[in-house]
This record gives sequence, C-alpha cells and structure tokens, in this order.
Amino acid sequence: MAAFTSTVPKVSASAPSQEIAHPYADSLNKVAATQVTRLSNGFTIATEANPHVRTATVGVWINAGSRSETKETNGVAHFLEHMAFKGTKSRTQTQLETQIENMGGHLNAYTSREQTVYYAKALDSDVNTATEILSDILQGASLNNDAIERERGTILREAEEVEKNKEEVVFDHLHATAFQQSSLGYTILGPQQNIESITRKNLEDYIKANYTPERMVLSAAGAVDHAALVKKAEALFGSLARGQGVKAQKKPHFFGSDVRARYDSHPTCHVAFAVEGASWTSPDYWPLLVAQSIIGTWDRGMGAAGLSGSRLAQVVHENGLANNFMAFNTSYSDTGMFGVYAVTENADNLINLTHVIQQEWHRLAMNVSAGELLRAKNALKTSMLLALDGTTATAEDIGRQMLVYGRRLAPWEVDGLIESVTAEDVMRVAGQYIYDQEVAVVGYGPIENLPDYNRIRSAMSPIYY
Amino acid sequence: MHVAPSGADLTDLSRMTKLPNGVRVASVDFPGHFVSAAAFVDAGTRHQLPEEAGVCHALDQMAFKSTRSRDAEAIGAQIAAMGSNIGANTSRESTLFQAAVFHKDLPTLVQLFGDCIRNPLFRDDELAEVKENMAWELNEMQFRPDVMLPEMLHQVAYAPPPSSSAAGMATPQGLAQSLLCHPEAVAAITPEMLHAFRARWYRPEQMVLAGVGMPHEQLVEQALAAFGDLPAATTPLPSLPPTQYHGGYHYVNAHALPKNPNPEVMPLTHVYIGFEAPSLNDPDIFAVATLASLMGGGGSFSAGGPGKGMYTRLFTEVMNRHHWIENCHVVQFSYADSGIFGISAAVPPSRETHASILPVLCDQLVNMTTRIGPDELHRAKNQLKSNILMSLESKLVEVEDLGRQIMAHGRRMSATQIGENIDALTAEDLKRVASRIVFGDQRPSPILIPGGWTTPWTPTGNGGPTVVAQGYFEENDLMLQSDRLLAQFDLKPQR
Repeated sequence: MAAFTSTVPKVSASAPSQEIAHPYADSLNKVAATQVTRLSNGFTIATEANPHVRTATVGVWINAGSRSETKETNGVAHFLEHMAFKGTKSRTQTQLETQIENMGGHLNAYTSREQTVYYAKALDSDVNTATEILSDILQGASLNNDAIERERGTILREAEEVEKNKEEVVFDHLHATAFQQSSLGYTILGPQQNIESITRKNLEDYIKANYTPERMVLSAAGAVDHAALVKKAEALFGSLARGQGVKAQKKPHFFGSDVRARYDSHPTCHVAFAVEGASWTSPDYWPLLVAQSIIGTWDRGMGAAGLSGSRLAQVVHENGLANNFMAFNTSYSDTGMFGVYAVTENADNLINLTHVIQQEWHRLAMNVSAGELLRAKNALKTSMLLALDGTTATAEDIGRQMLVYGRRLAPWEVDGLIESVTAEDVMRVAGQYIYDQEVAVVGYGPIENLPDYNRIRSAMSPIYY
Repeated sequence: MHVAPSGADLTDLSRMTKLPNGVRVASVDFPGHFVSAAAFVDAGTRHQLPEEAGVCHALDQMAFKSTRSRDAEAIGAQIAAMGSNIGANTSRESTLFQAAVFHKDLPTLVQLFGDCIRNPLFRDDELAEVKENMAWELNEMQFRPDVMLPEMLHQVAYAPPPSSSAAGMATPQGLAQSLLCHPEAVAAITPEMLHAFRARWYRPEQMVLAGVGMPHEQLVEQALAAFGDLPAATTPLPSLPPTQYHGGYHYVNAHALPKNPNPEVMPLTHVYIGFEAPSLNDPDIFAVATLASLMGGGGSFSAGGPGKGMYTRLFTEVMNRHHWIENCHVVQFSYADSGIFGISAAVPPSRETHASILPVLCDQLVNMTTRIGPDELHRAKNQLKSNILMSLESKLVEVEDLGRQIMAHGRRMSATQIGENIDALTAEDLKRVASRIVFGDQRPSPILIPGGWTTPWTPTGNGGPTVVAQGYFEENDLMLQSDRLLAQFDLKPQR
C-alpha cells in the first residue's frame, strides 16, 4: 500500500518566502498533526485539535457498508443507520432527540458502499456527552420491533426521494451493471422487498459481523483534547471484542455493459460512461484524479466563465450538447470507476455528446498541455485542501483516510502527491485505463439517440492516422 | 495612518485599521494551511435607483471580467492558478468579493480584488454574454418559489401599494428592489449603467477588506498597495430613499404560470406571512434571532438526525400535528433600518388546505406573543449559539461575518459576547419582541448592549402584515381572502 506516499519529501520550510509571514510550504507544515492512538482491541482514535474553535465534530467511521451485505440482506447497513436514532437500551428515542437538540448539537449518519459513519457536532463542553451518545447508539440500539416496522415506511419514502434524484439513479444503475456479480453493485438502500422484510435478527447479525473494534475509527476535529478522548474511548469502546477484520474480498470484475431506462416523457437525458478506475491505494489513484480534474465539471449557468480550462466544456458549450456534466473518479478498496456523467435536454444530439466525451478520453492519452495540468492540479488542491474549512470536513477527511490508508495524509503530503503527477503520468493512465477497455454505460430519459452499445465500445479503440 | 481604537471589549482577536482614504481593513489571525479574504462594498440592490434594476446582479456577474490592466482571460488564468475558490455576490445592502486561498497567494488575491473593484472595463461583448446567462438563470428561477417568493415578500412589504401610485404598480426602490430583476429588465442593462452605479457607491469609505488567517500588518500592507492610492471621496455620499414599510396582500395564481418542465416536482401552494421587525441595529436583534431559533421549522421529509430543529415550535406544533403540510419555516430578514419576520408554509393545493393553513400560521404568530416556555427557550438559545459557533469554524464564514459586522456596526462583537447577549434574554424579552413584530407594540427595547453597538429601531410602517401566496387557486378560494382571516386574529395595521 505505501507506494503512494513513500516518495514525497516533506516540504521544506525554507522554500522561497514571497515576503509574506506564512510562506506557502511552511503554512502547509504548520497544521496541527493528527494524533492517533490504537487501543488493544484495535479500536482507533484519531484527532486534529484546533484551539481556535469552540465546537467539534466527533464520529465513528466504520469499515463496512452495503458491500458487506448479501443479496438477501442488501439494505441492512442502511436500515441499521436509521434504527440508530430510534432509541437505545438506556435512552428512549425522545430522550435521545431532546438531549441532542437541547445542547444545540447535531447527530447524523450515512452509509456508503464501503463505509458507515455516525457523527455528532457539539460545543466543546459537550464533546464527552456526544462521544457517549455515539457509543450508546452503536452498541446499545434497542432495535425494537415496532420501531423496525415503522421505519420501513420512512425508508421506502427515502427510496422515493432517491428515485427523484436522477444522478443517484444513474450511479446506482452504473454500479449495478459494471459490478454485476459483486456486492459492490448493490444499491445502498436495497430493493423494496428487502426493506419490507429485513428482520431484527438481520440487523443484529450485521452489527455482530461488522461493528467490531478493529474496523472502527473514532475521528474528531476542532475543540477536542486527544488524551481526554482516548480515555473516554477506552471506557466506552475498550471492552468491545475484536472481530474477524474485513474478510478478504475478491476483486470484482468490471463488466462492459449498459442499462437503458428510456422515458420519452422525461425532459432531460441523464447519461454516464465509465471505465474501471483505481483503488484508493493504487499508485494510479493520483494521476487518475488529475485526469478527472482535467476533464472537469461544467454547468450551463456558469456560461463561458467555466471554460477557462476544460476542453470538454468548450466543445459542449459551443455546440449546446449538454446542460451540465461532471467527470468522476470513484475509488473503492480494490477497484474504482472513472467516467463522465452528463445531463442534457438536447436529446437529438446524444450521439455527438457521446462522441466528444470519448474523444476527450482519448485525447488525454495523447496530449496533455502544461496549462491544463496546472489548472487541474490547482482545482484538486482546492477541493482536497481548501475544502477542509470546518471541523466536520476535517473529521471526515481523517476518518476516511484512517480507514482506507491506515493513517492521515498531512496537507503537505496531499499537496506533494498532486504536485508530483506529470503530464506523462496522466497520458499513461489514460492509455492504460481507457484505450480499448470495457465501458459501462447508463442512459435515463428520452435516450432513443444514445448510440448502441457496440458503437460505444468500438469507439474505445479508435484508429488514429 | 490612524489605527482605530481596537475596542478590546468587543473585538476578541480581530483588529481593524482605517487607511487614510477611509478603506477599513479588519483581520483575525487564525492558524491553518490556508487563508480567507473578502472585499466588501457597502452597496447592494437597495442602493439601485428604480431604473437600475438588475445592475447589482450584472455587477457581480461581471466581477472578474476585463479591467484596464488586463483581459478576462488573464484574470481567469490567475483565478484558476489560485484554485478558483473565489466568488462575488450581491445582497440587498452590500457587494462581496470573497475567496479562500493558500497563504502564498494572498498578495495576488488582494491585488486582484483591487483591480477588479477599481478598474473594470465592462466591455460590451462581455456584458452581452453575462446578460445572456442572467436571462437564462432568471428564467430557471421562475420555477423556484423558494427563491422568488421572498423577493415578492420584500416588494409587497416595502413598495407603495399599486393604488397609491398614479401609474399602477410603482417601480420598486430601496429594500423593495429584487435581487433578481425581471428577465425583461436584463436587456436594458448597459455598461454605462454599471459605471454610473459604481461611481455613486464604490468609494473608499464604503469599502472593507477583511481577512482571516494572516497577521494584521500584512493585510494592511497589501490593502495599502491595492487600495491605498484610491482618492478619498470629496463629495457627500448620495442619500438613500427613506425606507417605508407598507405591507399588503399579493396572490399569484400558479394556473397562469408556465408549467415546471420537471415532472418530479410536486405542485404546491406556498404562503408567506411577514411583519416589519426590529432592524439589525436594534438592541432586540438577539431576541429576534432567538425567537427565530425557537420557531424553527422544517420539511415533512428531511435527511439528518436529531439537531435539525425537530423540537422547534413549527415542528412540534405545526408539522407534527398537521401531516398535510409539506413544510413550514420561520422567515427572518434583517437590514440596517428595518427587517421582516414571519412564517412560510407549503401545502398540496386544495380548497381545504388553502382554507386550513392560514389559521394554523396565525395561531403560531399570536402564540409567540404570549407563551414562551423555559425548556424551549433554553433549547433555542443553545441552538442559536452553537449554530453561530459552528458556522465560524469556516474561515470563509468568519471572514464574511467580520466584514459584515464592520460594515454594519463599525466594529466586531465576538462570538463570546454574542453568546452572553443571547444568554441574558428572558421569556419576557421574546414575548415583547414578538409583540413588537405582530402587534406593532410601540415600546422600544429596554435591553442595553454593552459598548453602544446598537441604535434603537423606529418602525417605518403601520405594523400590518405582508402576505404573499403563490398557488393553484380556484374561485372563492379562502386563501385569496386572507386579509379577513388575519383580521380575526387581530393581525392588521396597528397604527
């Protein structure tokens, strides 16, 4: 795993200071280090204290998500996330809610394909209470049968909301088709029949198998004291019995395939094209991230202002091919997805939209300019470093990195990893991951003019003269 | 250079310096791997003349276009090199240029602010392109009642009613001016209009440069380089039209509006009831904010766990009791000399829901003048304080707060002191301020804010309600007779 960090030198604090009190390199070094403690049962505490704020985010990041499920239990991780707020053995639902609301705190949770997260935001004086509540909802959820029955309706309602969000619908289809023989292809909410039938025992089994200390990280940022939080964590999570760890999973096969949900009455077409990408820890992760950033993101509302860098944006804008598009590079523990998602009301021109996206992919393998590389790297630094503007974003960054890398990358390391990507690296990964590779395609809406699959697949290996 | 009194009791870690030409520079040093900075101009849509509708919106869209020193492409490249985390926007009272950048880019950023604020060319071709985008955006907005109705609420609240104007609906001015002009007004915007607006208001004493994350001296030095040679204003500042709250009733029948092209959007009827409220400068401003925190509200379906305000009154007494209501929120706007406070709701369109929603909302408005419980008050205070402190975790928010306070009050009150002012409030204070709002209670606030940070607000209108509704109304719809219903609750002009 370590390949992705080993070559990055620590940025020298004596880099040329541009007559400014905090030179760039120095300021990247100056961030409080992330302190990490691992308890004997494997439970990890990682914090970044910021004495200049009076609030904190504290949460538990768990190495388990919908991918840890089976076909029969798909939806259970998410169902459990809902049940966490429905009361525990020591607190009724109302007591839990009023305690959080009365202290001006926030309690939240989310489930993704590989991670489940429960976190709280609170005033400095309430960090201990918040941690205790997190421990309670994780270890002592009452999973009352009546509450389970009531929650089915809420989750089905949530599923209806997801159904309205075409971006989520498209990405669900994309996972389902590309990873069709793997649990990575499951949706997070699960199919309706599972939501209607998941039992208390399913929930308990899932907790037992997955909510084990070696798969959990207590991450905190802001007004927190590491030593105090470790002491609290020791008392709350220290006696949890170690589990089996994450079962070694077979790397899922990426299937070149398509899903077409044609609805001619829908006003816009939503399309996605993806190839297999890289895992979090692959050395190709960073060049692919830069490649994604070069293709970029654009929305018609940005007008020409968004065109300064992205070549695809220029072509799409000049020819009116889409309302918006976004390149994505989604990573998992052993695989990934690299692609473009686009929305257009110009249904007649889907062929051209498909063509210019594929053309841009191939261009990346042949010709990346210094200017667009610089722009792409700066945009990445913005999204990865300037976005750490608050304790929740920071705790999230810590939690996710602890789970996927086993440690936290300091800002100067992230900066160095982005900086070290060359135009040749981008061209190499574009060649390797795109040229003549399997492609997954999803179309939703009035997509009669979306080219047929064989045409899209054959365009993955153009012949150039 | 004269250094303004730091007013240690009010400024916490932030410091302010006034440059000789009147530009104020405020900063707070806060460590971390990046900085934020913002340039404010005390000029927003309320500073537009009636015939200047849309000018501020066009100005923020033109913020980073060609200047006398370089073209838009060069500026765009510089912005991209700094990470593109930069923007400009206009509110009713001010224009804000704001960014978060790495430390090394701070001098470039301040220079860029200086160049874009002082030297814009407003080239015809660039303005034409911006206008095209504005027209498209404004067209999209007509399907966003959550954006359009607050604008309409301001127009009805602050524009003279149509009957008092000889030529029909008076052209809105002051606080009645919309942030989003009518799509037709876009075509009329010219570079000359933008230059004229700038000439009136973009003056050094109207500007504040704020920064978070750097030593104060450093920001002052950069401010001097970018803004120091701007000549001090020699003419008096133009006066704004006096604010006058009128209130009234305005209904938009959605049957006459274009159909939303997105079939997933459920048709709803939206209603807003508002009243004139104490201004941003009134000593009751903390009571107003706490009352808003107590009323809260939300939607029938929302993500997130406890902490989203599920025990606020509009949740426990409205959403939890009337499951047919789609959403219900408190409405609060505060300006230098006035404000609006009220409640909004959305319901599925029907004769029954239209008839039933108004009494529910009126009940809530009246009840807050007589009943404030100790638990809910305690919760509202904690939620307001934690919301403030949690927002201030962000450097972009902190720099905006710093600049806005300097513009509104000439100095900054720390979050600790804001917390103390909130803690000091009693249930009586909230009932009193509720009464000032809905019943036009004339008693001024007895609260004393230390340091003379506030000046008492004088109501500008008659204390009557402003009702704005957009929905699918049928003949004899009770929603269209809301004036009669509100009068039954004694919600009517009081003076």
